[in-house]
Amino acid sequence: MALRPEDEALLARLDDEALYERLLHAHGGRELSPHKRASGLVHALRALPGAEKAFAMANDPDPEKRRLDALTTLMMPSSFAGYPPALLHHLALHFSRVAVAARDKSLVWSRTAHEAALAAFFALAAHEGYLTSFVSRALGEGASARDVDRLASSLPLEPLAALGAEALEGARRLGTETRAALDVLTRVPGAAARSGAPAPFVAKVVARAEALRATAVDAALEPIAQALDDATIANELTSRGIDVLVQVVPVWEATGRDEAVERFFVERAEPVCWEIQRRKEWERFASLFGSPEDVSRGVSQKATFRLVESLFLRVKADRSKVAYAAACAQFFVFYTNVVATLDRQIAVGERALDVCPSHRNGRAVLASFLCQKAVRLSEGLVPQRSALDDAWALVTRAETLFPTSREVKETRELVERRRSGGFPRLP
Amino acid sequence: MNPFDRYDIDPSSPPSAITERFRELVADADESERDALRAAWDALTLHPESRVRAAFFSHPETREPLGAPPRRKRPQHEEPPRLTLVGLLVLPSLVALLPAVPTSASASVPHFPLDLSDPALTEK
Repeated sequence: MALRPEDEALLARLDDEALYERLLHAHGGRELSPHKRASGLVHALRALPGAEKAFAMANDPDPEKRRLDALTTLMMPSSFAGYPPALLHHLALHFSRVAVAARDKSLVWSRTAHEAALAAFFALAAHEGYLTSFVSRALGEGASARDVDRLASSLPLEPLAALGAEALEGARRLGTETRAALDVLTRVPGAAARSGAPAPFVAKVVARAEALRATAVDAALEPIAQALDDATIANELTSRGIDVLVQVVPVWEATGRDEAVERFFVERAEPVCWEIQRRKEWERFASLFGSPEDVSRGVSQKATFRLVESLFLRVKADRSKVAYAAACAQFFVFYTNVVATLDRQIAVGERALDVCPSHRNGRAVLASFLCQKAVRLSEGLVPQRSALDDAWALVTRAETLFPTSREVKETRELVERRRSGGFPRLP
Repeated sequence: MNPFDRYDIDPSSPPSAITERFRELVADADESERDALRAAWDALTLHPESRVRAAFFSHPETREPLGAPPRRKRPQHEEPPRLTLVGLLVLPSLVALLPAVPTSASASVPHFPLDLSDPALTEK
């Protein structure tokens, strides 16, 4: 007996409900119970190009061959451009729920789901007609056009604001949820790009996310800044100040190695370094920066110089960050007090000039190291010719770096004398 | 939990439809649940922005409408027997044909006097 169209519709709805339950369990875990209206997502997916194949895979008569991969790909495309607003609405809510449910099981999947949810919300924001109609229906008769417009434009961005609030709320403790929120905020540019929304909207969303993240990072750094101020007033920058600065490293890690934390470190550590230098407490540089092994391995929680290295790479990669080039160079100069050998000091000095070629202090310090090496090569009663050639090259480089240096002038005279067969000056 | 999901209300419903749904829920609920229902109704109907926000974060109704259910089949109706003249006759009462029943029921019951020597009857 042929089924009535109404019966066909009922069967299709039951099929959609069953398939949505499978999708929800696959994405978020079996403990989630689906709401019946959410199966409208499955119905809306059928209208997408490529849906027929994906549904055939999902409903394969052979249970062994049933796969949800293709449907999941349709639900998480590289771009949501062209997706109907009702489907975007469903997808945004579906992945928001999945992201929260997956937080305790897989942070990676939770973040991926969160990014997909944000992308769908941002894509939905571009459908003003759908949102306006939705809001005016829900507000009921008599709603003012101004209220309708305000809510229609703000609702799709509320998840972003909620992320900012979550990041800010736990910023001082930097617990798991705060870290997750900060991490998702870094993914907003990716989500906005996937949304397929117009460029001005994407720029607005990205700027908003950056502001929210910056506010949370500032809040996380605030206790450290306060403690540094206290150490300055107590004239304990080189003791208590170092202990406080070391606490920046966990904040840097918790915020996903945020550039703002690196800039904070560079700005607040510089007075500490000058004070160490003024007091000639050279060993304190190692307490502040960590040993070269710690820094190069990148495992020590106290190796603050990793922040400088990271900022150095950022400045090298993006010249728009050139304002921090001189600061990086100065920190490499300070760091020469930590490394053990002359060759390594020269290598660190070279990095200072690599990031900021005109850095006066860097040029002076590197010229000095080069002269020291040239003197060593020229030492001995009968130095090898090749060693003297190397010494000459070093002193020539030192001269280009800092021609007015007295040390360079004296070294040049020494090397010249040795090359012409003279003896080293007696001590 | 979102009130639209919890109480199974279409998020696009106007306030009047929400009130109607809560009226049904309150009628079916026991006293302990009614306060929670009233609070939820207050939140959804007295604060329009809260209602819109809750509606937005609940899955919209986008499923195809189901249409009317099929009409129920009536049970087969049996034709009553045809009425004839014989059926209209008033037949004599059979009760009247039975032998007469004594008017006093006690007359036919034998008398058994109480045994007052029985200690159970004399016990005080």
